[in-house]
Amino acid sequence: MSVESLVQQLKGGLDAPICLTWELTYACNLQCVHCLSSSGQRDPRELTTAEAKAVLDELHDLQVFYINVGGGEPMVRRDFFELLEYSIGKGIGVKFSTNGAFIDAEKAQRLAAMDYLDIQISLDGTDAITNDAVRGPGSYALARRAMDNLATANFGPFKISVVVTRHNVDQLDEFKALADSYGAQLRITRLRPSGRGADSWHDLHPTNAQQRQIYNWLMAHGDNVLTGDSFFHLNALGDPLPGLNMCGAGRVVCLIDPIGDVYACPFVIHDEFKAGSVRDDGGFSKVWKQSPLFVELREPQSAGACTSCGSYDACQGGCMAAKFFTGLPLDGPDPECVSGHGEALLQGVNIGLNPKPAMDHSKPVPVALGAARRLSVVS
Amino acid sequence: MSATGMSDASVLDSGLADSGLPGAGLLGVALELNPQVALRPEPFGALAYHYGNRRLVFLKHLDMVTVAKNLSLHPTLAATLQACDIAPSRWPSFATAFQSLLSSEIVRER
Repeated sequence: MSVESLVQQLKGGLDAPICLTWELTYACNLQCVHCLSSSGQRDPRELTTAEAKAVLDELHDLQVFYINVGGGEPMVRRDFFELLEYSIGKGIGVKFSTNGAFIDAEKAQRLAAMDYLDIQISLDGTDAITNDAVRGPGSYALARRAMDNLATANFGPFKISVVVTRHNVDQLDEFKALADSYGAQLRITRLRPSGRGADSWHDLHPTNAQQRQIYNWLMAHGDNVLTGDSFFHLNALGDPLPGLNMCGAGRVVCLIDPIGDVYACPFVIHDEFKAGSVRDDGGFSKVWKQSPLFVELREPQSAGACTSCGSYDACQGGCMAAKFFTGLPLDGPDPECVSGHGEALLQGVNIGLNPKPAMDHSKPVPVALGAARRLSVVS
Repeated sequence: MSATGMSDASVLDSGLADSGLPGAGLLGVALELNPQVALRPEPFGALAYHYGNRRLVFLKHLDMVTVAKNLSLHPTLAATLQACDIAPSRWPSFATAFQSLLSSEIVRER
C-alpha cells in the first residue's frame, strides 16, 4: 500500500481521532502576539476537574492513544498534574505545550519521573530580542530556564517548538543547534492567522522567498525535525516533504477547547468550525462520529479555483484555517500559495471584513492611570 | 512506506505489499506483538500505537490484524498464517509486512 492510498483512507475519517488537541485553559501568563486561541484570561465556563476526567474516560474508551495538551498555559490549571496523571494512568499518553514559566527544578523532577509524557517548550527566537518581540518580555529567559531544568532533571529528549515567522526564519540552523545542545528534538510549525494571529499575521508570516527557504531547509533536515505536517502547502515547490500530505481537520485531528467545545482543528476557533461540545448528550464520541460538520469534512473536497492548477495534487490547496481567517474562499488557493495565487487574491479582500475569532480571552489593555481617573469621574 | 505523520507521531503504513520482497525468512520465526503496543480497530484494519517509540502504524487489512493478534499462540509466523487460514500464495506479502512491523518494533521476536 502506498502513502497515497493511506491518505485516501484517512480523508474519509477514522473511528476516533489519531491526534487530539485539548486546550485546558484560556489563562496564560504570556500574551503572545500570534496566539492561536487569543488566550490570556481564564474563562469561567472552563471544564471542571470532574468533567475533564469524564472526557479522559471517554477518550480511553475510544482508544485515543495520546493527546496534545495546550492552552493558554496548561500548567496554570491547579489540577494540571492531577489530570496529567489521570490521563497517563488511563493509557492516554500526553504531549503538552508550555512556555516553561512553571517548570522549576522541582516540577522538572516530577515530570521526569513520568512515563508516556512529552513536553514541548515554545520558543520563537534563538535570542531574547527575536523571541520576546513575539512572546513578550522575559519569555526567552523563562523558556531557557525550563529547558535547563528539564536537562538537569534528565527528562530526556523534550521538544523545542518554533512557529516560523519572517523574523526567525534565518535562525533555523541555530534552533537546530540549540535543540542538539540539549539532546532535544526541534519542531517547527507554520504560523496561522488564527486568534491574535489574525492581527499579526500580515507582519509576521514568511515572505514568498522565505517559503522556499523553509522548504529547502526541510528537504535538507526534515527527517530529524518534527513539523506536525503543517507545511504541506510548500509541496508545490517540488518533491513532497516527509509526512502526510493532507489537512487532517475533522478527519484525523480535532480540538477540544477549555470550555469543552469541539472544533475541527486547533486553528479554527470559530462558530463555522464548531462541531459541538463534550457537554452535549452523547459526549465527545457523538460529536466526533456524527456532527454534520465533521461528516462534511470527510467528504471529497472541491479544488474550486485551484482545479486548473497543476500543483493542486501536491499542495491540496493548503490550509483551511489560513484561508478562512484571511478572508479567502475555502475552495481556492492558500494565502501563502507558493505560486502567488493567494497573494493576488488577498489584495481583493477588504481589510476588516475577514472573519474574526469566536472568542477573545486576551487580557485587557492596561489603561493609563490618568485615563482611568478621568473615566471614573465621568461615571 | 514511512512518513513523519500528523502531529508528529511517526506514521508507518504497513499494508500488504507485492510478494517477492524481502522478509520471506521471517516465516520460520517466532513473533509476538510488542507488549508496549495497543491495537485500535478501524474499518480498514487497525491502528497500532507503540507507547515507547511513539510510532503509529496502520494495519491496512483485517487479516493483518487477526494474524498480529494470534502471533504469540503459534510457534512461527508460518504456523500463525496457517492457523488463521491465510492462503499460502499470500504468505510472502505477509512476511514482508511483518518484516516492516518488526523493524518498527510493533512486533518482536520471542
